[in-house]
Order: sequence, then C-alpha cells, then structure tokens
Amino acid sequence: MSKKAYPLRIPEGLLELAEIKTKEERLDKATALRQWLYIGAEEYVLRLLSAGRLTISQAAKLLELSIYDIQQLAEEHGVEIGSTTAQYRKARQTASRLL
Amino acid sequence: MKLVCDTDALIKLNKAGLLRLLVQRTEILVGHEVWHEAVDAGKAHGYPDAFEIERLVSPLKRKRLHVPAQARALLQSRQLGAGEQEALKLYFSEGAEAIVSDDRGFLHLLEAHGLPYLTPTAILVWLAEHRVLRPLSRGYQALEKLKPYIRPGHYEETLKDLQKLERSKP
Repeated sequence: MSKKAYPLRIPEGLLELAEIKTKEERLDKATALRQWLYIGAEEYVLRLLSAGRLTISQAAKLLELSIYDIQQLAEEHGVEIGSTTAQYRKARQTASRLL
Repeated sequence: MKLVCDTDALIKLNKAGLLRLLVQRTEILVGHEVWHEAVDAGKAHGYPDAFEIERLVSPLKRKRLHVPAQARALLQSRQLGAGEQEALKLYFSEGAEAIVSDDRGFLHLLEAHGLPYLTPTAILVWLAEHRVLRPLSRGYQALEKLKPYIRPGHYEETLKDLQKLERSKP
C-alpha cells in the first residue's frame, strides 16, 4: 500500500498500548499504530459497503484488496453485504420480463 | 440476450454453479476491468473461482466503447468503482438487456435511473423455474453456496421462492 506522511496527535494511553504491542509482537510503534488504523478502516469500509454508500469495487480499491478479499472479509466480520430483499424482488420482476 | 456482469456477480454466479448454465443461454459481457478484478487479481491470490471464470467467459475484445451522452452524465453522477463504471459503459455501448450485480450501492444507482438489473439469486430462481437448473434440489444447493455472501432476508426470500416452485411442481 502506498503511504504518505500525515501529522497526527495520538492519545498517550494509545501510545502506551502501542508500546506493549511492539514488545509482544516485535514491531515498531508506527507499524503497530498503522495496523490499528487499518483494522478500523476495514470495519468502516465494510459498514459503508453494507449501507450501499460504497460499491464493492470502490471498497476493494480503497483497501487495496481484491473483490474476493472483500467478500471474505465481510463474511469473517459477519457484515451483511449484497443486494437488499427489495432489490431482489425487483430483479425477479426483470428476470420474468427479460429472460 | 446480452447481459453485462460486474465482478461480484460473476464470482457469486460461479460459486453457486450458475455461471456455467448462464453462458450456455445468454451472452455474458465482461469488460477488461471486470476481467482484471475477477480473473487476474483472483488468480494472483489463488482464488479457485478465478480459474473457473477464466474458463467460462472471455473479456470483450474491443477496448474503445461508444458511450452515449446519457451514460456520461450517469457516470459522473456518483463515484463508482472501475468495475461498475465499465459495466455501465458496456451496457450502453453494447445494447445489453440488463446488468447483473449484487452490489447494493450500484443497484440503487441503476434503479434510480430506471436501468434493468438482475441479481445472482433472481437468475438462480429463473433457472429453476425454467427447469434449466434441475432437479430442484440443485437450486437449494446453489442457494446454500450463496448463503454466506447474501443478506439473511434476501436468502429467506429466495428460499421461499424455491419452495413455492416446489409446491407448484406438477
């Protein structure tokens, strides 16, 4: 994933927690913080996808993942994605008319 | 009959074993971006569906698509991913009958503009209704394969439709 520097004020407690993570997982502090940021971003993207405010193609691009990864991620997180019941009903009508 | 497929729908149709049946009855239009998302990216990460999709469909050879002014406005009306943008362009340029997708946001946009769409589950029920997918137990099996990737309410509705078909069977 391409990276850019960004100035950020981080709560002290979070930095202390990051310190623990660095020792336990042998990471540097920036990596530990980035991992948390990424986990939060994944959850947020899935929430937007579930609400229909992002498309799966956009979600994949933002997280630099494949569409397969997004489908799997949603399943692992128990986030409901995909079309709604009303959209299914509408698609059924289209199928009867077209196919 | 020409149907444009986005990546998510292509993967789901294949997971359910429906893509193989659909390509025998319709022309499935897949653009280069969708091909890249479904086949190249999938193969690179070792997803078995990508290999199967590669076997069943081909990307459209032509790269330059004629997109009418109406579609250009639609493409600018909301941020879409590259795959969905391409599906829309293909729909207009190739005179397709519908777009196959299971993406809530994309379908919402299609509906708002009165564009016809199909979902993998609607195709499943249609194939069962027309006895392409038979015996009906194969329809239930296909739905179970889709279950982890669709909303519970959507699953229940599709199940009800399959059960209705079963009851109406002569």
